[in-house]
Amino acid sequence: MNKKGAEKVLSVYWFVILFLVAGGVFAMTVIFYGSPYDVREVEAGILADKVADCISYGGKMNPVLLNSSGVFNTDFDKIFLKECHLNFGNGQDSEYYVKVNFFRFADLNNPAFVLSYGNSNLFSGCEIKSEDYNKISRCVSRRFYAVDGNNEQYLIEIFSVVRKTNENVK
Amino acid sequence: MRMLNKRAQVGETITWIVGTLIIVVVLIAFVYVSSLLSKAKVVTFSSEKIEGKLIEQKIFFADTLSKSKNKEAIHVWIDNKKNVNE
Repeated sequence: MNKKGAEKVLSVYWFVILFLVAGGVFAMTVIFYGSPYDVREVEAGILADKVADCISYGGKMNPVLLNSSGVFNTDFDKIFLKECHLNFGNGQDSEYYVKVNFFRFADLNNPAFVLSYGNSNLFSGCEIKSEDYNKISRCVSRRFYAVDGNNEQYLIEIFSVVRKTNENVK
Repeated sequence: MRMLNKRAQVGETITWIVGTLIIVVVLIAFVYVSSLLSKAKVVTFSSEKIEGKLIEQKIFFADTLSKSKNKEAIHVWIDNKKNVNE
């Protein structure tokens, strides 16, 4: 009789343990798979590469950006998205920012032309190192060079910034 | 005889309590580790090994087109790239 009572108590205990372990496994799964992958750095890199491809192809500057007499098209920012096949979303409130500095070889300190597009407020976040670093935009830079029709060399520096913290950080 | 039986029951109960505590501690440790791992879910270029291949290609074409004019100075400038994330 006593033995049967002990068995009943024990079976309740086993159910409690079973639910405890199942709850633990469930909690682990929710915690791990509930937090998103942070791909902002890769996204910023891909954006920089796309812009680089748009500015120069096969080592030559885009003729829409720089004409044959070496004059930059100052209206290029108006056609930037269409020319580069990009979509930045909501204008000034965008989650993206791109800045491209063009230098002539003779003067590497002062850019001959600066192209910028997107939410310029994001750029300031690149320098900040705080405890909430993950919640600040991610930035990537690229440097390369290209030549124009007259074989003049242009050194190009691209900064691309992606915020998108809601999608990448929990 | 009765006394001896009770002692055996006490010993058995303590074993179960300790066993339960071990299960709970292990579960808490696993949940904590999974929360740490979830914070480390960052995909970077170094993990994908794709960084810079396109840029290297562009530099190579530009070198070819410009017949390597000012090549060394330009490559020094390119290598001094400011890493905005570091």
